[in-house]
Amino acid sequence: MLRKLSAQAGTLLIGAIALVFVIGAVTVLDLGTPRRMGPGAFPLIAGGILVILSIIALVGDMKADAEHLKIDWRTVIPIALAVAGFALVTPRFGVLPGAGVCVLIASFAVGRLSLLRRAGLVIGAVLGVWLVFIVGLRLPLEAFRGF
Amino acid sequence: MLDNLALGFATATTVSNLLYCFLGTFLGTFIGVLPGLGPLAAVAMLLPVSFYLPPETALVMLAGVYYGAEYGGSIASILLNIPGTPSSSITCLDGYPMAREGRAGVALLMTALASFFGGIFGILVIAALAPVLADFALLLEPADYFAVMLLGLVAASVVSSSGTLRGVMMVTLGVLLGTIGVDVNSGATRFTGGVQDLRDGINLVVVAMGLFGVSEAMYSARGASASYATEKVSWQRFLPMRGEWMRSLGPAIRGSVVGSFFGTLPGTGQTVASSIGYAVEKRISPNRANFGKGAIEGVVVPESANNAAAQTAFIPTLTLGIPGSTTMALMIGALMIHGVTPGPRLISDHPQLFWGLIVSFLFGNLFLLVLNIPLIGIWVRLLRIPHYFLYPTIVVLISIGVYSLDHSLFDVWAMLGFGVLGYVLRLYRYEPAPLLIGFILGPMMEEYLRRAMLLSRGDPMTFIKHPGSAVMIAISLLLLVLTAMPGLKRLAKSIN
Repeated sequence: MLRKLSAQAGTLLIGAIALVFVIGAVTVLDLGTPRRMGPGAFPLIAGGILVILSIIALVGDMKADAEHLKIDWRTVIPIALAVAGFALVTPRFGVLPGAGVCVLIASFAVGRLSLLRRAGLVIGAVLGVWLVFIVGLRLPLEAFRGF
Repeated sequence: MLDNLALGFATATTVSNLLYCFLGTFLGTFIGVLPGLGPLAAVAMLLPVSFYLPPETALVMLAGVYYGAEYGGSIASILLNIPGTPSSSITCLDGYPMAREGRAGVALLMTALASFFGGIFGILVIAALAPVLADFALLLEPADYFAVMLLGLVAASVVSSSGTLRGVMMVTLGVLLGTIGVDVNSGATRFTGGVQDLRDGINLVVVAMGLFGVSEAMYSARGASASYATEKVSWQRFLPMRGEWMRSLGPAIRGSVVGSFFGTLPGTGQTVASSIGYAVEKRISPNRANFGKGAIEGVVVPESANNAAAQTAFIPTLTLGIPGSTTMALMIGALMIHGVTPGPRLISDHPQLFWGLIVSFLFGNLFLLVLNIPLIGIWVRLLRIPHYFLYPTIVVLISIGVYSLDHSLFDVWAMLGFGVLGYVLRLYRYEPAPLLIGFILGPMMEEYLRRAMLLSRGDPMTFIKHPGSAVMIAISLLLLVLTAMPGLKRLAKSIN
């Protein structure tokens, strides 16, 4: 049973999100009246529908023993860390160092690369970002900070 | 009508408007060619630039970016089998096999011509239909607007590749996420968990880039390292074989008609247009046996359909103020920043803007044709960039793109969160595209629901008493029942 349920983690996640909205709407927000619907009414309706649909999907998939794909940690972790790296480095050192760190970490998601190619990728991407966003589009971004 | 077109020509042919139209289509194609980046990303990235332009010019440029990127997306589909946008994924089906056979040149030329044909067809439909629809829209009441959006959401879910039930679930999840932030009617804060950055709700671009950009990179970065055989492409032959010209005309017309129709329905848009166009053609074409193996019709139909739809998507956007797609939602954002409210009065209040935009579409499509036939070589060189460069670069581009919106790191973290969510959803066969439509239409839907209920003094029967809304709700229900039927039967059987 437990293994069957874990195969439905996606549906369970959606159901759980929906439940959070329903509980939030009922406990914190004003539901109002049909004539003057309060801020909680619409989320309650939508959340309620989603909870019901999640249950239907759950039952259907468990009966059918639906398959799901496996997580590929080799791509998920580098990509997630790359975005996180950008968010951590940029406020301290500026956009270009942030971009460099981001592309360096993300490059570990695509498989084996020689040192030379990896370096080329990082330099090329940083140069490209500088040309496109700062020189070309003239977005008010701080290229370097704190140097 | 002629007066209007003359006004449109006068607006569209000023030097600066022509220049920005050209610039827009060029940049759009450039960004669209890069796999993983589509019109949404292109428009989002160039949105800040348009703030400094007069409203007509800004819109003309963004529209150029939009359909330029749409076209660029097909190039990546044909050569690499990676669609730049979901809507060009259908083009992969036959475009990529053609490229494998060394007929990439033919596929690209036919794509350019079919896109042009579909685009022009769509423009004629807008010019004829939009003013009529705008007059009609003045009669619509909140209940009707609510029903239009409901129909849009249902349409978006039933066409989802993961089935009706999952489609509806994704749409509803999007609607729920759209309620986060301050409620405009009561001023109450909803579901922010006390986080200040959530008070204005989650930025649409953040959701879109997370669900599609980040999760796409997580999903495909490694698969991408397989092999792209761009080197094998032969560029000697651009011209299709003699019989193929004639065989393409019918599909181009049918594709344009299907595309124009689905483009005007909010919530459906180009992806639906090209997939339905392809499905129809696959049934009726005498050459159907070759579909999926490099049939020229399989390139012509989706391309004419998605470009016709790209144009007609402006109809609900401009006349009702209802964005048919995520990219259109950004267009509405651009209009509002310039103080123009899209809706039934837009055409009469800002005829210059409306007709100028329509005529600029004409020039934009012409530029695309001119740009693309001689410049195909340049776009192809862009694709020669080694594959392992692509996904890391895309991750950087979208991170900076999201950061540059508001200089908010919260947005970058939120994008990461949506990336993970999108990845998990995909693992469990939930295709996230309908979520975004729900996210856009949800808040508007709530607004109209509340207004309609207020007007009817709390009587929900108002949705059935208004003929317009009654018809649309009936169609929505019918769509749901028809598409959910096989699944329901299976469920009932498995329970018994």
